[in-house]
Amino acid sequence: MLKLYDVEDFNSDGFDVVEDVEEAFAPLRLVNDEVTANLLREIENAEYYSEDRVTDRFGAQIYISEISTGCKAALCVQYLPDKVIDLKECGLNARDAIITYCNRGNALLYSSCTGVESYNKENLDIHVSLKGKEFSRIDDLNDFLGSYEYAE
Amino acid sequence: MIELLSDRKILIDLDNGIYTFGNESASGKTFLYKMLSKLRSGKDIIAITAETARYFNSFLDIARHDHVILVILDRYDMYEGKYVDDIVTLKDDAVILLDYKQGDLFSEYIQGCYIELSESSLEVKGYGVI
Repeated sequence: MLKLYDVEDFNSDGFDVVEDVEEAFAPLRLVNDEVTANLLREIENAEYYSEDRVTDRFGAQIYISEISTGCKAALCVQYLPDKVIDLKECGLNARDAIITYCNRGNALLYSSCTGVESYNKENLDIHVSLKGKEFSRIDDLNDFLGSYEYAE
Repeated sequence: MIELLSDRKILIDLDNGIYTFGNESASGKTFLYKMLSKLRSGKDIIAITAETARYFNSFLDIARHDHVILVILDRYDMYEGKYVDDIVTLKDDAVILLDYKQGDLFSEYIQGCYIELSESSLEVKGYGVI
């Protein structure tokens, strides 16, 4: 289960929060699994090549230090499940990929009033909790985000 | 139009002012920062990121002295609030590119821009006022 926290009411006491994603990602190596493949494809338009390289959108092999900060944040969420990853440097596409594909970890959410892109993903199972509620469909999460914004 | 030669040809098709990129990851912002950093020997470019921002509190004197035409502040969310006076002061004399997603500093000045990336070139274009 991916746990999302809203930056507006998050209390960091007792949490190990990663603010600098680049620093946290530097010692990590890629795992050749489905989540990694989905995150690389969706955010970076790249593919797994080896534990320290990906094939980029132009077909070149690049070191993982060269991928975007947003993609690094997404991989940190999946690979560092004991920490809370601050998504302030994530674009909306990276945030949406995290919500869609990460099945564990913790993420500090910004732009929570902006709905998650669900085009062509209506039938995907997600595994997300936010504010004590669990969601298995993007549309249900978006309904909740919309009602939450309205209640605010 | 600013045209630079690096691993790729870099074209900055913007008038002087403050620009932020769209709220999208992997559009090429940090890649642009890294290419411009390598061109620092040209002296008319300033490239700052979260790591280098720790080491100085102002770039205005350097910008004035070297007649800087292009400034890029990568990962500005990590040091939001720093260099505000420098950025505002320099906005009429240089193109200032901000990788800045969450805050609303400079909202009265800021314009939107985006990157078009190909195998041989990287072009930065404007959206206009946002």
